[in-house]
Amino acid sequence: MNNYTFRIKRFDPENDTVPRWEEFHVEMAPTERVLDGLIKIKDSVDGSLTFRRSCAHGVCGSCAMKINGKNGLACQTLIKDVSFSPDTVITLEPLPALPLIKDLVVDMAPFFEKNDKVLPYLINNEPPPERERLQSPEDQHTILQSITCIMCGCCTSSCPSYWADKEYLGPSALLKAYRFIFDTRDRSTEARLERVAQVHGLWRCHSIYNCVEVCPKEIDITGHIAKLKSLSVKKALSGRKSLKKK
Amino acid sequence: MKGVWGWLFQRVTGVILVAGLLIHFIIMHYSGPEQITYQYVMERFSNPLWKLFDLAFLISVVYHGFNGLRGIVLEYVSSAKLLKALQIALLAFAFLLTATGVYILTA
Repeated sequence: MNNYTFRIKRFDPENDTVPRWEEFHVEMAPTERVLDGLIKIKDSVDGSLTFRRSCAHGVCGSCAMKINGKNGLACQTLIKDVSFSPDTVITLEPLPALPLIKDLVVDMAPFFEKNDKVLPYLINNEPPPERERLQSPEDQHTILQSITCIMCGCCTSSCPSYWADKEYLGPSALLKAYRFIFDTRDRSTEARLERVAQVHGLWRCHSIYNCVEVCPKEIDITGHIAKLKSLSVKKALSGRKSLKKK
Repeated sequence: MKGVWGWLFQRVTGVILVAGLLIHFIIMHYSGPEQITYQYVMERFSNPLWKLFDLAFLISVVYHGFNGLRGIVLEYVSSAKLLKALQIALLAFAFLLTATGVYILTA
């Protein structure tokens, strides 16, 4: 067990006008997680410390925050990976670029609104088959990575294009668009491309790779967005006839 | 879909710039400042292939640069009025530079 220092950016909307830094010292084993530290602080030092967490096992995406300057999941980050010696301070901040509510909690509404814009559900008006709509293992493989997204918001809030342009759909929503556009069971590619290939859509991605860098599920988001760009170009080159039919 | 051609052309001009800049730098650097005289430039201009190269290079540079600036404006400017004004200004400036270049090349 070592004594670790947590430096946490705090904000109480009832008393603070700007966020302030507060330090906490916690006895922890280096193999424990950052989330364990937060829970210890809340349980035994300061019950007013506010943060989101639900599953605590890297599935729900609730505990996304900026850990030592890099977005990530507190439940998936071990103390020994961010604090190489007990003297190293562990800095925790809320996700950037999203409205701050309290301490490490941000308003995710703008993030989910972007997600809704790309029609994030299967659209297929063909009569349903007797059993399920089948998909070959190869077809499944095309969208496998994009399906593992847990929508924690690490990517979009780490994207410099999103920092500058709050209308930008952001990497997460574009990845969701990929997930359905390249799903062989889906029939609404054109409607989705129409929403995605826009001034505040695909073309605001400048392949900065911050999203890939921070993704806790290690998804090659920039690569997926590049495939959407190339699909848009192919559609434009092959004429807009197919678009007009729908 | 919007902006597909604009983006594609940005990529195409980018590729032209990689090759074009290399040729441009070699000429400017290795011919030496004392050699780039009126005579030398006019001799180059009399060759239609160099004219074509210079024209393609000019259009690529202006488009790539100004479309890049437009991208920055689209991202950082939220006021609709200012956005429109800046885009018109950029377009006018790009047009002025292209026209000047074309005039020099064809005069």
